[in-house]
Amino acid sequence: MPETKIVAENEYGLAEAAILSERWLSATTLPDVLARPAVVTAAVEQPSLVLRRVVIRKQGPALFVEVYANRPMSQTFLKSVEAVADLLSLPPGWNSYSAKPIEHRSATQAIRLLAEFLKPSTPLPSVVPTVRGGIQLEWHTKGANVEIYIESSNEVSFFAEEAGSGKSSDVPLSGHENELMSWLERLSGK
Amino acid sequence: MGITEDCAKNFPNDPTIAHGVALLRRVPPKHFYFDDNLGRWRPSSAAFEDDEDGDPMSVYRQDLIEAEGGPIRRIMVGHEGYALASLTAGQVRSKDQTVHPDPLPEESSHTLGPKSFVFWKDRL
Repeated sequence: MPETKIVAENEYGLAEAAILSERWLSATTLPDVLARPAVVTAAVEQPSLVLRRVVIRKQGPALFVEVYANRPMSQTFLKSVEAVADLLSLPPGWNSYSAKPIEHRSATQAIRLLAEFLKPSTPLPSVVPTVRGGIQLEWHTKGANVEIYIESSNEVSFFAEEAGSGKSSDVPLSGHENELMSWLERLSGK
Repeated sequence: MGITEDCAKNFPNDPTIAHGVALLRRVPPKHFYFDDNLGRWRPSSAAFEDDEDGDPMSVYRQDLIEAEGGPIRRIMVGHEGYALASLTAGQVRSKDQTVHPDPLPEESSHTLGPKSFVFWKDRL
């Protein structure tokens, strides 16, 4: 199986770098499995992470996933990115039937959604490959089921339900971003 | 033509397969997880997603395997870490879907059956 490496890097403007570097550089570094150390935020809720770039490239047998963001990335985010990257090495037929390999654009879209919706307090999602080359992000906890569907066509929708009450949503993400955020905040215990 | 109609035409239901017959589907390790809400392992809805070719999912008839004296684990050979999910033919038909025999040279119990994740929502 080809090796997958993740590069997580913060890209600041000069002013941001001057302000943020002292604050964050003493924080914990990432585990050795990542290609290089990066700075991780403390457990204080931060504004949404803004990704500058997501690059997926092959170099020989290794696959590199490079993520550049406006500020340090949380452990929750980085672990989720690792899970997404892990799916990129799945061969055709990985489910023992006729599943397609995961499309790079599905992975890129998944990483962008994780950056937008994942807070440091959000539980880690299950990152699930789909047979059509897409990705699902799933949470099944705190009495709720939330699933984000990233199709290989890059269409995104989500399903959420509250166990017991029958309350549910099954809608395209576009136009329902706040609703998804509410469901995810519920998973965080808010 | 809707999916169900299309399926009924191309993969007609075989009424000789009793409602109670168990249909088995391999579930890869990346398609099951521990559900905190239910307190048990369960397959992801992704395990029941339709292929792009529009064909129904492959399943295996437990009654045929047992009638041939074979252990169920024969459909798990070479698939370490996989789980088996089970639906009955009656459950499949209750969703207006068909159960269609499709024996393969390497596996006589191969059958085409359920489509889509409606079964996941029924708490498989």
